Amino acid sequence: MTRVVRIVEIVASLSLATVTLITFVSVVMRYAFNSALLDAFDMTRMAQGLALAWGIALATQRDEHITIDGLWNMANDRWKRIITAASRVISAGALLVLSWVMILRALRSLHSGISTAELRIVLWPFNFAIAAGIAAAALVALIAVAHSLKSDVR
Amino acid sequence: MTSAPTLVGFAILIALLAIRVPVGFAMATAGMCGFAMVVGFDPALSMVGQVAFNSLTAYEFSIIPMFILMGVFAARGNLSLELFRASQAWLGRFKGGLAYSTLVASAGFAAINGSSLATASTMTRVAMPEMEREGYDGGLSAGVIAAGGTLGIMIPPSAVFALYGFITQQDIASLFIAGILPGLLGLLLYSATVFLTGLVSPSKMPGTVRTSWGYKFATLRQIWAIALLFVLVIGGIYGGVFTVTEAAGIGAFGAWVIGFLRGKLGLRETMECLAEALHMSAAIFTIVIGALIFGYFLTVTGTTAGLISWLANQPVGPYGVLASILLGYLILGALMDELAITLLTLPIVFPVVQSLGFDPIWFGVIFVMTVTLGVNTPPIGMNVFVINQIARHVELGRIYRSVMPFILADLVRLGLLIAFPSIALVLVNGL
Repeated sequence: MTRVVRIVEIVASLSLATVTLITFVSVVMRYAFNSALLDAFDMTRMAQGLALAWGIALATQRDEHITIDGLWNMANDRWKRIITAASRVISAGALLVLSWVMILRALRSLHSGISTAELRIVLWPFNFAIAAGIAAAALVALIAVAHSLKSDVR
Repeated sequence: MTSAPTLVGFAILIALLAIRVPVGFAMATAGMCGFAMVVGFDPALSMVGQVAFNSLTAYEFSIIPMFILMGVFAARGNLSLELFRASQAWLGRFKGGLAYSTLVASAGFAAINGSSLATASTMTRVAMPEMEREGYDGGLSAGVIAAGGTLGIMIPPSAVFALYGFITQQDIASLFIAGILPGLLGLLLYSATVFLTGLVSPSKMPGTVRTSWGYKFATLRQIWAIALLFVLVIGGIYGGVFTVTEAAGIGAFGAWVIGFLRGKLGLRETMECLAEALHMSAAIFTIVIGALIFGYFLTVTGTTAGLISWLANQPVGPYGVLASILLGYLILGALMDELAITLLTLPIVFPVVQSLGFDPIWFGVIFVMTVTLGVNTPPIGMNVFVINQIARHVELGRIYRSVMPFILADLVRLGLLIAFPSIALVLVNGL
């Protein structure tokens, strides 16, 4: 599991680096060579989408999302467990719905054959990869729910 | 003004936030349920898919991860430490010199990153140990860092200003420049607060650190990288060399090059920085998606239009309405993350402000200032949490108490900005 998480983190981080690199190269090409980097706009969008979708999966796995902890801080251990379990169930539900609609959207892009403006690269593989990131977040959230229930049974 | 679905939507949101559902998921769930109640389940699903996909892949939104990455690279490249050393060399001889140094270094670091949390966490690592070693009170040190952190939002580049610009369709470059003088005014008022604290409780800031003139000028030579990065990003925007979105990417790349040339950003460190920026960006984008979904729900229920007509009919005049809006933001700021507030409320509040005839750039400045106050106030003071996470030995309550005088300084600044809008607008109009 740790190995998988590490690989995901490396790939998502490199996607973020790609966004930076494309921006830099685009500006340099515009001023130094008076030309444009083909499909820079769409490639930036896709690299950013990939980075963020898988970043959300990582943030879910590490429980790094921003929460409001006022009530939780005041609760005793038993209530903390209950609140955590309820929160995890709802987060998992939200992520499941989100993955479902993202997969539907990726399927639509497969059928429509939508592609980039200049090099005509089809976008559906990117859309599926982005949807997969959110689906991975949902899976991780479900695992967290299972952990919550297991620790409660114990 | 309110309908049953609006009330149900807000009730769901509050309940979910209370049971520690992540802010983004809570807003998405409440927004989708409310939207489905009004328009139907299928359109709600379709809206959620569209919002999520478009937010993750919006070219303009790349400004957020890029400015975060720039700040992370700059911190790892030791730029913040050099700033602190330079400020310390010049200001250390005064009583409370380390506190002034921390504030000046925070303002300087704010000029090369766009987040209060990044500024606060970096300065906690850099300045806190030094201040405590010199005998400064831990609470005061944390309070100064928390206050200095808010300068990160006001002094350009700023992620919150960028979001404000996206949502309200205002020129981000103008917003950035409008933040400069209010940011410097903040620095001045915070310094005055440190001075007064020194008069009231001299034991909290005991030592002074004297350095030679040679050392002073040597430290100035070391901060060339920050000046270069600032000129590259801000100069590039105002010189028309690149757009704000491009400037963010160029800034991130430039910060990496500086760190790489100094031997601070090898492959391992670069990957660590990328991962750190990725985690912060992902947490923010979860809120962005949730807030936009909730925003659609508010629009479809007519809450926005209802609120505008209700406020317009109040017999308190434009400034009365503005005062109640700002009071609402002060309360919200204490409860929620500033990015969440920006995304959640601006689609509702901005049309009201426009209909009252206020300048949208000026309102952007006072809006950002008001919600930023919340990062240091209980119960949800994100800056305070971040400092407490790093400096575990200083309790939350102590930091909150120490930051209160700075909050008062912020309220004075807010009053000055409302009374004299030219503080924010003079540079914008001059360009």
